[in-house]
Amino acid sequence: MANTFSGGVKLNDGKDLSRNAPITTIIPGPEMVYPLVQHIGNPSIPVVKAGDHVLVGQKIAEADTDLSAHLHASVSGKVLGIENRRTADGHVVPSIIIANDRRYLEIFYPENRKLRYTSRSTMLHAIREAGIVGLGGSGLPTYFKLLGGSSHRIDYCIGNLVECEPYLTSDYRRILETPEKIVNGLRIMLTMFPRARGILAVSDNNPEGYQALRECTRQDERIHVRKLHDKYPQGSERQLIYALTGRTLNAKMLPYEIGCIVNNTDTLAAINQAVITHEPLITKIITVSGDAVRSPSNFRVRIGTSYREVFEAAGGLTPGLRPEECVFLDGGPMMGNRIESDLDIPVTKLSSGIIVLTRKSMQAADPSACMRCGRCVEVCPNNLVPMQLLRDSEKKNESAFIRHNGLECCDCGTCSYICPARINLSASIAEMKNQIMRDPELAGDYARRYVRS
Amino acid sequence: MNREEKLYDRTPFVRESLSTRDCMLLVMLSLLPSAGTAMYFYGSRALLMILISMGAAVCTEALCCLLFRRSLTVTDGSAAVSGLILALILPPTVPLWFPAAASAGAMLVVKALFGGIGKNVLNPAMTGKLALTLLFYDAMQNFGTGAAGEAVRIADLLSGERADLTEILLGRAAGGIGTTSGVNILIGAMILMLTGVVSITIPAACLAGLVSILILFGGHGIDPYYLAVQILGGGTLFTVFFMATDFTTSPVTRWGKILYGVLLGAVIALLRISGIPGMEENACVFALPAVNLTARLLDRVTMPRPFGIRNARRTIRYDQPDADSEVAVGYQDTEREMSGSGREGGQETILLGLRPAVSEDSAFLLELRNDPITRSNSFQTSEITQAEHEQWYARALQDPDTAIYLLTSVIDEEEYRFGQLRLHFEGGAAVISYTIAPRYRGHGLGRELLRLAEDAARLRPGTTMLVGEVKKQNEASKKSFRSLDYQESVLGDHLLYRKTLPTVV
Repeated sequence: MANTFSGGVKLNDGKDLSRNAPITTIIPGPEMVYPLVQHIGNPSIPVVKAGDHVLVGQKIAEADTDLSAHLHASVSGKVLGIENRRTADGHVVPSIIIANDRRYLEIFYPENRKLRYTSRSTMLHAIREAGIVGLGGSGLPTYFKLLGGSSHRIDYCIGNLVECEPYLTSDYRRILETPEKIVNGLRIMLTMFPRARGILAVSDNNPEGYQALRECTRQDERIHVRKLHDKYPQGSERQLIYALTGRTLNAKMLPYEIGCIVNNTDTLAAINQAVITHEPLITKIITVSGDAVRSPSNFRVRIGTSYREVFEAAGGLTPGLRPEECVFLDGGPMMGNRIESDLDIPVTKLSSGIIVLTRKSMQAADPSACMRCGRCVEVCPNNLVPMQLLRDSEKKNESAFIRHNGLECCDCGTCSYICPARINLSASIAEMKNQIMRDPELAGDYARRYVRS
Repeated sequence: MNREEKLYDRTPFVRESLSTRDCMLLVMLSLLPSAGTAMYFYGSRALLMILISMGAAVCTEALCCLLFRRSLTVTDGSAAVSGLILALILPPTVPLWFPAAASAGAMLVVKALFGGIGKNVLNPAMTGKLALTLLFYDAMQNFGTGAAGEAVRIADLLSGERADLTEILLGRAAGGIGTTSGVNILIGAMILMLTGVVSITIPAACLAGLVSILILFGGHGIDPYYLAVQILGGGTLFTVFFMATDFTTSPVTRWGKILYGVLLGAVIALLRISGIPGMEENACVFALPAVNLTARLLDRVTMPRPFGIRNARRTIRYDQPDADSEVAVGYQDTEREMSGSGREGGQETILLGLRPAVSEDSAFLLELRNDPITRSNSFQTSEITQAEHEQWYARALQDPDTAIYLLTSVIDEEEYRFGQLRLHFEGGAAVISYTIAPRYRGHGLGRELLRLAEDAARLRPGTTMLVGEVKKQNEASKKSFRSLDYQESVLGDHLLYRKTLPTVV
């Protein structure tokens, strides 16, 4: 097998900054914020009201539809109310506010389940109850994905441990520190899909993690650990499946249609926790890194903690830098978003890192004219012609955009990254794509890949 | 947000450091060895030609930018590169106004009038030379002697005169001032490729096309001397590495590049062996602009197929597998599944699941609804027309209180549909109605479907009760409901089945 895909770029990954920082736990502040949208579907429905006292792990909001997920309190304390609060992506979302009583009283967790005596429906139920969604950023409820997969023959259950975004090291640390939890998550998947082979995919730049996982899976005949080329976007679902199995799928399809179920590091760890110890998803590993951060670190953070507390735990900005000289990002620099507001926004299930870059390092420049060098075509992992799609979006020509397969774009940003003229290809293409996806008639089969609203 | 702020608001937030200007500087760097050839053989006159040509190109470009009110693109270096290349491909004896006029004309007519950088269809330098060749043919064929001693023409070499190939490789041949030394061109080409500015695709395809046509139609068979002269003489190498790879006038797709290269090589070779006088020396001059014209077209016809698109259509097959097909219709016992083995007793079992119905399932559902046995078991027994069905189905898909699922299994990438389940939510109850396709009845699929229905019902928060209504004579459904511990009660001419939705621990 090729161990990679065609196209893509080798990035300067910046992971050395925080690679060696062990995961430490952050003690949250007095006020915790739980936005009701931490998944792709409708907002969850609160089941607590102002004045209620909640415990750690207690359900505070219920899923509304299939595409929505439960929410749980990550601290104990009093519910202050439901208010509109801004989230990292800039939207203002109704959120449950809880005053942290700093006692961290937990709900009663029943005795640990034994995998051998746990039925498939119990596992599915546990995963749904724990409020697990695709933690790689998709936000698709894991329960929903597994339910869809159950009518298909699943040949591969894949653990996506690639973490190809620069700077992020939360998966790297998790693999190194608690590989058994990830492997156990995959074992649960394999119990649900008894014909499947399990594959854990790591990147070439993570030899330590590869070793740790090999150690852990020595006894498992069904689990294989595979090393993939260190290349962006190797962690993109379709490219990952291709590199591991040789199977290809397009943007209209879901992985289970070609017999694959893919979960990322955090999701596997959360599945393990949900099924074995009954614990809901209430913490996330967050990397704080970038060339403007004083001491880049990895933290275990209770969901609902504010970004400011997490950022300050890493020592804040490098001395001598002013905030105006830096850019704050939510997530990695390739697919993450800029945090436009202040840092008073809560950590959610979908947070992965706070990356702060100095403006100097960003190679920012005004776009100049395209000289047709064709680099974007060379690197596009989906074999598209980004320069043509850019032209179609500039002309607002929807039919040409669709004819040139613009809806196959996965927003990886590789074309913009490589462009010597600094043209913002991926941003323009994404804008056009989102506009088309809002019209179900134009989007057709592509609408099946649930777009985040 | 102001302009300055916007610069930092662009995803992705890290970028490759190589810019357009870097590309152009690297091209100039890779042209230095060839410029060295020119100055070694022709001294200060070569330097003068280069400076005049570059100066004319840069000034014209700047003027055009001002004239057409475009942003000033002189600083990107593309005009300087065009000027440099144009000087290097001219013969040493031309009057000094040749490079000036050709450069200025190329920048104005070939580049600026087409819309500036990235928009020109023809290679400016080669088109400039083409114009000079057509207007002042004799002047353009006087290669002089200069320091090169007796310059060897490719035409003489081909007509039988033998010369030392190493001499030619080092540049003692007739041609453009910078295009004669194969060694220096290859050094430059290495710089260009190792720094990743251009890929080897076009040059390789071009040389392959050239050589194959010469072998096939050149009349010399595989004659290394003949082929070497063709490649080294007449500016071929310089054209192939520095001009055919020009970003703007060559295709961008991989197959476009290959076809373009092969086409260029073939046209050069065919012009050379066509016997038209002067073509030995000038084949490249005519071939390149002609082939430039095909670049955009080649891009269009070689648009790559996106990743995974060949699986674009899911095959939903709803004619059932053949009766004697090896796939036995069975089901996988959910409890037994935990043991971790997919095979039970040697028989291939299939995995059943529910998936939400989509609009493409309409025909299948109509067929199910109009099946005679289904009709007799349901509460409205008349046949349903296509139009009625479609209207009903569209509404049902929209209805928030109705969920329609299909009982399916995917076998060898094809989906088989075995039946349908409809849940209608009322208060805390989910009212079940289901149908198994006629072909699959009698295998216990109904019971499996009802079991899965419990999972489906749990998706709706607040559902506590499952309800099913069955006609008294419908033995199959009665059996399924009973086997799953539903409570039976009689309600007129039909039976009512009820069950509290079991909680899952």
